[in-house]
Amino acid sequence: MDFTVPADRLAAFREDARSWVDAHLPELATWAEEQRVTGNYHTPELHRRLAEAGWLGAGWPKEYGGTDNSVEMAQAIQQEIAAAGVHSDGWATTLIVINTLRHVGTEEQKHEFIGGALRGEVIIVLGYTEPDSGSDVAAAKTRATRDGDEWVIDGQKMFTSTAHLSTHAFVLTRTNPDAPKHKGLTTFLVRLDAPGVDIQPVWTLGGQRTNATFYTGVRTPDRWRVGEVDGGWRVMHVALVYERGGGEGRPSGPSLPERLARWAQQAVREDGTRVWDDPSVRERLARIAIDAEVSRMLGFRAGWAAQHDDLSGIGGAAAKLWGTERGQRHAWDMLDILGPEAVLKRESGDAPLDAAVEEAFRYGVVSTIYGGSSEIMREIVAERQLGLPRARPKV
Amino acid sequence: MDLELSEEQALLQESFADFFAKESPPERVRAAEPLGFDQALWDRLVAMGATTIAVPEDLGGGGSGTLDLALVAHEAGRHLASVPFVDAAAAADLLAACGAADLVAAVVAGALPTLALRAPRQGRCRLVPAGAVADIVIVLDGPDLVALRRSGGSARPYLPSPPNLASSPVADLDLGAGGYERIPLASGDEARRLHEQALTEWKLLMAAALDGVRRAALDIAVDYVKARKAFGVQIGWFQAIQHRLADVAVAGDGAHLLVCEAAWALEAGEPNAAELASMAYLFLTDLAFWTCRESLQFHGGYGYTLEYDIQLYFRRAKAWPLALGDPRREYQRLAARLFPDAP
Repeated sequence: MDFTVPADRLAAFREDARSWVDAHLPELATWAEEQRVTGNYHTPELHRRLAEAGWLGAGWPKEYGGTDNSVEMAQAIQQEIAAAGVHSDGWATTLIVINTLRHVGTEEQKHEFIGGALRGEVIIVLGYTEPDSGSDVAAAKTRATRDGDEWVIDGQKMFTSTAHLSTHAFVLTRTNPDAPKHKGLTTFLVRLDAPGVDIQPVWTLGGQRTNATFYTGVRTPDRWRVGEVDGGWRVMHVALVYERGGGEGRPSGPSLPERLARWAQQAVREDGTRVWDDPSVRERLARIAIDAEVSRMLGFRAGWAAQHDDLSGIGGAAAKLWGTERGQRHAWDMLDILGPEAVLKRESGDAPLDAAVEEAFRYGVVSTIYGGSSEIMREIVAERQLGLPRARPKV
Repeated sequence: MDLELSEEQALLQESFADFFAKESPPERVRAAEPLGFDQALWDRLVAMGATTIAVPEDLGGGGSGTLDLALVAHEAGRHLASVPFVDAAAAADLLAACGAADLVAAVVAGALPTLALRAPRQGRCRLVPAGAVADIVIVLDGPDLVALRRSGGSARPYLPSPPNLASSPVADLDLGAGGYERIPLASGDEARRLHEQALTEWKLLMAAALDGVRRAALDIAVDYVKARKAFGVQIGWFQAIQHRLADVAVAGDGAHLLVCEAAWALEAGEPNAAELASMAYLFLTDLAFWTCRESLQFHGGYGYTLEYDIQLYFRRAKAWPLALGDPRREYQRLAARLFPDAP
């Protein structure tokens, strides 16, 4: 066994990436603030510049529009952007879809959508979840009915974040309501400016704007069908693998608990005592540090499993369950430690730690829900690791 | 990063798993109560050189590392072996670190060493782990680190062991009592440093033993809920049970990695090794008991009877780590290390 922290794979590229970002994206800080205020986690101007410089196409096959740009440099640039507090959700969902197309798309689809995406012209949002189905994604009710060379789509999708800034949606539909649940699904690409598409904003606790997307008699050509008719579940298997891919970050400064400890060592309460002199504060921070170390270990194991062709999904489920459940508790505890000032928002101007804890508290809420809720993760562990019987009724 | 045991380590783990399964089944554990010491098992371990595997070869030990010791401690904990493996291994390594060749030689030959984790008060060490059966007790007595070595032999227990929750051979030790030779090991800063280092190793090995306890408790729970039926189905079918077992299983996987990481760090001399050992000790102190408690709960009324094995684990999971004191004090020490209070 060896727990040496892996060397920074991108170390050689960081300086150049920083220089490129400084020279070509001087507005990053403005965009970060703009995203925070508007809740739009996609900045079209940023996306356009990355495409134009060839960074989006790095590593992709030439025939579909790939560029000669260095993949590592492209990753280092994306990490610099993320570290500046700018989200790239539009690109994240587009990547899931074009990676899926690479496996299961037609040649025509690969040229049209991968090419368009790498040029920055095509931005694709995910359309799986519905008002009546989230974790049970295969229960989708949105209908697609064939009409000659076209399909007509009727239904509603939830949490289609960035739909209002995207060109297409990747939509999971029901094409055969008489077949068993998983055998009557088909996936399509649909233009979001097609007649019959209506996008309504949904506001979230974390501040991000997401959408409810309504489809009424929306037409999409058969050549934009992804996979076989009624073969949508196989396509989803590929797409969900790309959704659960773990992200790595840039080596960063002090962690939030470390910053909070520094704050506690300086802050004085109304009775004149230092916050840090309260043993319960110290204990809570020590507990947070232990949980975070366990989280780091489970994350390593998930990565290790993936590298060793373990497709059981147990490692990823364990890492997600532990990391997100504990991560939320940590935000609750850290708010408590900050006391009355914890509630201050960044706009107040004098929030402790620039409201980082208040924001982490709100952003973290969704972490135990999206990408498979904690209950689904527990089910995976109970069935696949502990060998317990399937508890859900088979419908 | 490499999360796999080496071939030799995998072999070591396997052979000790087999050994304890054979030599420490629940009947043997019960038979050794209330003292909690199995002389025959101890003799076998000494013959195998188990407690001195990390002692340097030139002192007669096995010359291997902390991770190997942790693997053995895990298996000992998993089978509730009625021998003070954790205490004896940490004490043996401390004697080696002190360069006490004679004492180490005695240990290699079968003398049982242990460590007083807490300082004596008014000339008395209260509830020394393995104190009732130890031939050598290492004590930090004021500025001096000393070994108290029993002179003359009689049958174990040498000292009376008060009835206790874990059925552990703990005993009070009077520093002035006759029958012990006082051998100085170190003094001053060096004494404190050596004692601290031994405490770190003890915490790590205790964490490893507790990791074995929680693993066994989880296995017992899973087997039980698959076999037991209620309302016409196996109770492991209920999500209320499945999800709680999933929670302790996930935490358990993380705990196991944390113990391995801490053992690796101690062996590799990493600068944060002491913090990691403390983290592993605290995390397993919580988790081993939490797992045992869930496992006992899912046994229903049988969990409350002495007939079922889970109670053997439940009592030890709570009692063993308390030898060091209230865990909350260890959280304070860990916080001080992790977040230095710079003015």
